[in-house]
Amino acid sequence: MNKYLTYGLLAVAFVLVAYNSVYFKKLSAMTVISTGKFDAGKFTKKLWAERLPAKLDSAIALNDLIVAVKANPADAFSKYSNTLGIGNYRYCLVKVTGVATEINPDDITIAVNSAEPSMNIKLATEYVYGNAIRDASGLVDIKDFSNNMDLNNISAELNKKVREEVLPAFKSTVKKGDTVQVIGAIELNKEHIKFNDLELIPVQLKIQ
Amino acid sequence: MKRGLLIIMKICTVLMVFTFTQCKSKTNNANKQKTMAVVVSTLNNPWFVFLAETAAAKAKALGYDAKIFDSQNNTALESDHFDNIIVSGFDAILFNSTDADGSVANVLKAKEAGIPVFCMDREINSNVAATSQILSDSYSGAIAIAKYFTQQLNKQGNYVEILGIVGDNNTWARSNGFHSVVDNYPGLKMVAQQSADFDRNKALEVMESILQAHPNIDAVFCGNDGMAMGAYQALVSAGKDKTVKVFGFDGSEDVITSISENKVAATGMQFPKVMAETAAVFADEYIKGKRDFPQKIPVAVELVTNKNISDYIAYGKK
Repeated sequence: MNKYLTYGLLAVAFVLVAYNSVYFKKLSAMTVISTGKFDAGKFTKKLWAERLPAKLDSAIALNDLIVAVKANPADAFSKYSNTLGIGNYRYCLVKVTGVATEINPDDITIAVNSAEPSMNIKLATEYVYGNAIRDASGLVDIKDFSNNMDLNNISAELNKKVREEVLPAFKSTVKKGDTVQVIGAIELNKEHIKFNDLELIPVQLKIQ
Repeated sequence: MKRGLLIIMKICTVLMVFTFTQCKSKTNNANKQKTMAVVVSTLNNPWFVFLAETAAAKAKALGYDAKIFDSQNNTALESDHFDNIIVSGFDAILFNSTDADGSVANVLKAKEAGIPVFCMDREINSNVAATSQILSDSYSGAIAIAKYFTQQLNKQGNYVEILGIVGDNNTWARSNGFHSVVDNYPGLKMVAQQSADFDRNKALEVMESILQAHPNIDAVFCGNDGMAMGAYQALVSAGKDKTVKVFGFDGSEDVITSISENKVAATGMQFPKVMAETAAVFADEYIKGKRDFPQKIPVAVELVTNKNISDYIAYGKK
């Protein structure tokens, strides 16, 4: 009897120690990609093919975004923008239809006549760099990465895809007066919101 | 039977001692004023003074005692500070490291003592030592500068790069970000690349020496604003300040003024206030029980040129 009691108490002590030694976490929280083993090219290729198209379909029309930001900036930034870090820069996926009014070596001016009032935006065709596409997509979670360089490399790979696969065919075809449809990313500074100098980094381009 | 009872009594005693020790410890902790240590690489640079004082002020605003420790850019002194902090029983460390590799042991020491460490601005080369690292996104900031640099130079010209401390990760994050853009343009030729240790006077000397070997340059990219001002001084002395464009990184007072006077072309504005306050808030959340922090969180660096200078003051926004 006493023997059973002893073993029982030992078992209780064991359970107490074990309970305090083991904890459970969601599997998604444990998918940290280790430094040095992360293949940004492979990751980006998969993201581009499997997850980005649906995001592009859900991009907000630029004019609707502007209306929303003017009405309630905090709410609009919360609904339509993303960023991986801390700071004032916010990135939004937007769709725009407009007329190419100037074809420059590094960008194309697009007149967006549907906007109220009508506005011009610059479509970047040369300097496609930075985090706009990565962050605007909302498809990359900072908690999955313990190394900032992996995150930088995702941006670099996404931008490279645009520069090498999206832009060359478009640049060789587009003419002044063409109506173009663009889905891409813009950067807004939430502390100093300006819509008169927007630069659109393209992801998908169509000439109508 | 006697033996069994003895074992039971021993187990009960151990459990009771354990329980009472925990209770006592919790009671003591509850009564003690919580404290945060702010360990900063140097207080000789106004940027780091601002970082440390902001972190301490935020800790105090959150209800903690805060003490600033100056490592004087010396890892050994930093190690002594960590020893004192551990012995004194601080509850958290808001940390700006002296060396990406050399500081790891100090952070691990604190971790073993159960003190969470939150890095501010300067990265340490470990993903398991600090609880979280709140770091300027130097790489992305340098990309924005490089894009503007390339546009300003119309994709061609000779340039000089002045690097910061070679052992600091920010030096290479800025340099690599910059080169990830400019190296795509063969018309841009780097004629010299030299370190000036983030120091204004060294940058002046380095630039003077480079100008003797390479008098025909179009631009200088410097890893911080102090060096940008040093390089600018050298260009003034050589009568080249009107023709050579200077680019910095930090958002210091001198450079913000110089951009508004068209003496410096651009800088990357860092936000020490954001980093310091975020570190203090994270530490407060940790002490209150939160454990789920990103290992490294980038703080956006904003491009400042004469086009948007009216939006900025030194170390931040108007």
